[in-house]
Amino acid sequence: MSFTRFWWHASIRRRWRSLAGIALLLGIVGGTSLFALAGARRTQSAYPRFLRSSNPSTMAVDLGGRPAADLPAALRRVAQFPEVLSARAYTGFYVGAVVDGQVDLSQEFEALGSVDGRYFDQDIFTPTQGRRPDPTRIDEVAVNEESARRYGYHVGQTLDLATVSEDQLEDPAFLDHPVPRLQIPSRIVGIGLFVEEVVQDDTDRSPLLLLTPAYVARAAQWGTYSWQGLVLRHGDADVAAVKRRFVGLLEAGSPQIFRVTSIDTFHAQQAIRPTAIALSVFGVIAGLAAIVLVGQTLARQVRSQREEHGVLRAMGASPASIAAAAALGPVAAVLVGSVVAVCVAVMASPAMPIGPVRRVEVASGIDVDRTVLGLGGLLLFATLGAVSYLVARRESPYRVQQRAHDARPRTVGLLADVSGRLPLSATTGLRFAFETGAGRTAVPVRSVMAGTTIALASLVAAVTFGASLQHLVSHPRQFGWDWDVALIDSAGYGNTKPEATKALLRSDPDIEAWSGAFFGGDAIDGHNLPLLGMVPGSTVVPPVREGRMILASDEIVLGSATLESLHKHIGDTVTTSSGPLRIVGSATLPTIGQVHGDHTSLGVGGIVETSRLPGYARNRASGNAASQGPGVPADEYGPNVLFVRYRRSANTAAVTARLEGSKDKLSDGGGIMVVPAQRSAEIVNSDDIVISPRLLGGAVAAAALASLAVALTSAVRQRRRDLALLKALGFTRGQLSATVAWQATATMLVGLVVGAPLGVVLGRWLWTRFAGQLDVLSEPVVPVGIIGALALAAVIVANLVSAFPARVARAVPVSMVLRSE
Amino acid sequence: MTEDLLTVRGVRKTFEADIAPVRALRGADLTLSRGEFVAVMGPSGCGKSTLLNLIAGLDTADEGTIEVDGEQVTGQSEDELARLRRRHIGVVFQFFNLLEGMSVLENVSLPAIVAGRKRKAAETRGRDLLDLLGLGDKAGAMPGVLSGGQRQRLAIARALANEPTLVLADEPTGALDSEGGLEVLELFRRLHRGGQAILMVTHDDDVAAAAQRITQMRDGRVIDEGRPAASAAVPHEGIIGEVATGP
Repeated sequence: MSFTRFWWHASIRRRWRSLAGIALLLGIVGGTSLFALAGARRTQSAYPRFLRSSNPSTMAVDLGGRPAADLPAALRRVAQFPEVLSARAYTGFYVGAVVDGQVDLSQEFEALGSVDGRYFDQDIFTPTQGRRPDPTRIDEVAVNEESARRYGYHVGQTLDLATVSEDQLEDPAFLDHPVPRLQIPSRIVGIGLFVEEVVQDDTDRSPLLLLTPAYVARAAQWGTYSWQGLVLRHGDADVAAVKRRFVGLLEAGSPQIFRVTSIDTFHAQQAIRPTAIALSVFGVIAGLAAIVLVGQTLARQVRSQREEHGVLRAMGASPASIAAAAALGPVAAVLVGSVVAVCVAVMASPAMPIGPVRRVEVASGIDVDRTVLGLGGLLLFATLGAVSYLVARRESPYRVQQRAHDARPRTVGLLADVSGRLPLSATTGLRFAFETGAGRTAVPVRSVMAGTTIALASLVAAVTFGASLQHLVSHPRQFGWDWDVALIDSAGYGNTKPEATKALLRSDPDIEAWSGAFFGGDAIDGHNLPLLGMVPGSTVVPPVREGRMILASDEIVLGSATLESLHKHIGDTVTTSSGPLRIVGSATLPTIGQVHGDHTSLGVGGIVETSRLPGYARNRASGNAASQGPGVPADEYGPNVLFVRYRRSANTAAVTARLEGSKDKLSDGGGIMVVPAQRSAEIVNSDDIVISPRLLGGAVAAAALASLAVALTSAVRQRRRDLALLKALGFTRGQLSATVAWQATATMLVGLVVGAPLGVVLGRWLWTRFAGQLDVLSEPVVPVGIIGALALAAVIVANLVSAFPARVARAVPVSMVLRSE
Repeated sequence: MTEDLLTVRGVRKTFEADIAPVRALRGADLTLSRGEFVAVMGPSGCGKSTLLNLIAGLDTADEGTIEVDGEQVTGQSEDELARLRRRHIGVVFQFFNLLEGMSVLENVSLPAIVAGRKRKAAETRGRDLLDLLGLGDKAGAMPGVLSGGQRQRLAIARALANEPTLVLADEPTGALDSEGGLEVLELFRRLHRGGQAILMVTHDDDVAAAAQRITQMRDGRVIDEGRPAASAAVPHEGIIGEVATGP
């Protein structure tokens, strides 16, 4: 111990710079790893944390449009359900901004008025700019980010808000001389997000405006519809019971529309997970890079003391004490580096979480994830500490000598064949690349090639994954949209006219086929699920992943996530409110449904025969409510949505334009929306997902190139004697540079030959697993052209990277090196 | 009566090489008495340095036996060899092999610390050695500022730190100019006069002449053990007598 301490004190003077360098390298690369890993956890947990902070409803029920006088009693009845802990409601208003004395209805935002504190103390609105409105003030409003983006609203702006009533809008004369029921200049005090907007499907994206309870107290009589958010005593377990009680309160034929928060949460978490996974993978790779890079540096550091260790051996130092002396400095550097890594991760933590949840992070700023940082820091220290000791032990003079004795010179057979056909510098470079050498001139050829191969495999895997993801985003069929457009009546609440539909769609030669669907939901095996009601044998249907589409009324097709959560398989039977149904297939479901209501999306939900959908035949489109009323059968009122597929030869834009021109013939009152592919929250978030693998691949490639440069420089230094000899034998400076370039090229080519196919296999496997988790159709794409270009770039960059080691090679002092040998 | 300090019998050593194995030693025999100063001479590649490394236990013989002060060198574990070196062997290298990051005093104190002495005791011993070898004023300096002769003197002082029974010197003047070489040889003579046994490898006749006995090697064998020492009992005077009682 006394010797080790003495050695430490005596040698630290000379070695502290290199040890500090190692600590710094570990601090930066290891810190990046810990930062990414802690960030992944923070990103993945951000949404649940945000949700908890917003006091979310377990579910929401649609109270529909009812006379204002009836609303308080209806709200009270629901709030008194034994399962309900807390209930808060909002009422929708027709509100427009007054511009130049006219109500500007072109700014179509939906105004949500908090009746009793909803969005203020339950489902709390989160301002990303400004603040929440004062609930007691009638003249303060907030808008969501979509409103601000679409209409250019900003905090502090005053809107002259006009509230109009439903009967005013139905009066044709109103638009000529609009006089609102209520006009209040209101200041936008905040721009932000409603709870369900953080990670959102396309279909839910709409401009919203939040009005205060004070406003609602004044304008209650002009409210149009209401939704009540309910916090349930036992969470999702109470949803089915509440639905039953709620349906029991409804008049016969009234619509039954619900929204269950956990379904949104599932999609949000699904959308965030890829980013978190990508960060985790990045963190792990950065961690491995830290271990490899620092490990190699430590090995070089220990190896550089071989002569000193030989002297110690000659003095009688035992192998154990030499190993301890050799390891002490590196272990100290690793300890300091690990602490620095933790500090770096903590200092960088304000940059997390990333993605859409960043805007609503409830604990932004510095974050100390004790689990990740503690375990990660310990792991870095333990791993690299062990590496230090093992390298020190391996590099003890006795073992070095043994290896030198045992070593046999090896020449790769291929090289013997090509050596006659290639220039001398090429042959020498290839020998340098493939031969490990022995003893003092040993070069870590295998680890360099393994590192290059792993890095290239990671890069190709990232590119393959990214290409498959791009393919998914640009091919809507893969995410359940196996048609060109959907025609939605009255935001999903209205019914299309069957005869008009036939007349219009059949007359267009560019329309290949169409099918209709009703929106709704039911308790499947006790789980509340969004459903599409379709006619068995429909031609335009969501893509079936397994099994087949329904052909009879006692059959059901489910999303794969739903199948998994129900623990069911194709062929099994599930219970519904209308009786048992047999599962005949699994489909990727489109992200579509009634605005504010539950809707199918990817793996969540199912398809049943129309008559199996509770309340399918209850039309609530306002325009027809009076004349034909709720309860009209579906054969007289068409589906809520039409899925329309164009012919392949059709000019998509032209057909869509024609449909836009004549769509209103199909509606029963509320108007038809022609919508292109609607992306789920997971796909909407794909920009982040696509960037992640690219960043990942880029970082890995950079690490690989840095590692190659360091390894080449180290190899050149180790082979100073060979290079000096070559110079003495007449090698020119150009030939020396070419030798190093050939060495780099050969190393890179081996990495490419092994790593590229490995990367393709890995990328396809990762994509298939990822697509399976996302419940989209898995169609992995191999971007051959990009991989080829990457391969070419890799070889070119390897040659560029070899420039510095080549300079070192050219500068080898022949006389000094050969004399000292 | 002569008492053998070192006995080498039938030692063989072969190294693997690219084309064919190199048989460095082909049955070498050698003896060295207590207090004797022997020079081993021979052409390059005859196995001189290999023999020295085997005696120091820095390499292992394929066959044969080596005994230093009654202790077997061959067949011992690396730990046992380390202990043997601490007790019996001091090594002087051709290129000094000083630890450039340590001061002169630290260099010379290190072997005693390796042997388990307290730092203070080791430094006291180191200072004594430096004084006796004329380097007392350089204790705090770094080896880089010393002349070639001074560097080799420092290396010799380091070899003496644990009062070895045998000093092994591999071409100790090979890297020195003539003045430095003479300086070192004079030091060896003083050590020898003090009773220090020395085995020195050299290919230089003038250097070898400083020894008490010259042994010739060729093709991996000792072909001539040379004149025996006139007397094994050399009176302990000179440098060894002066520093024999270390702390």
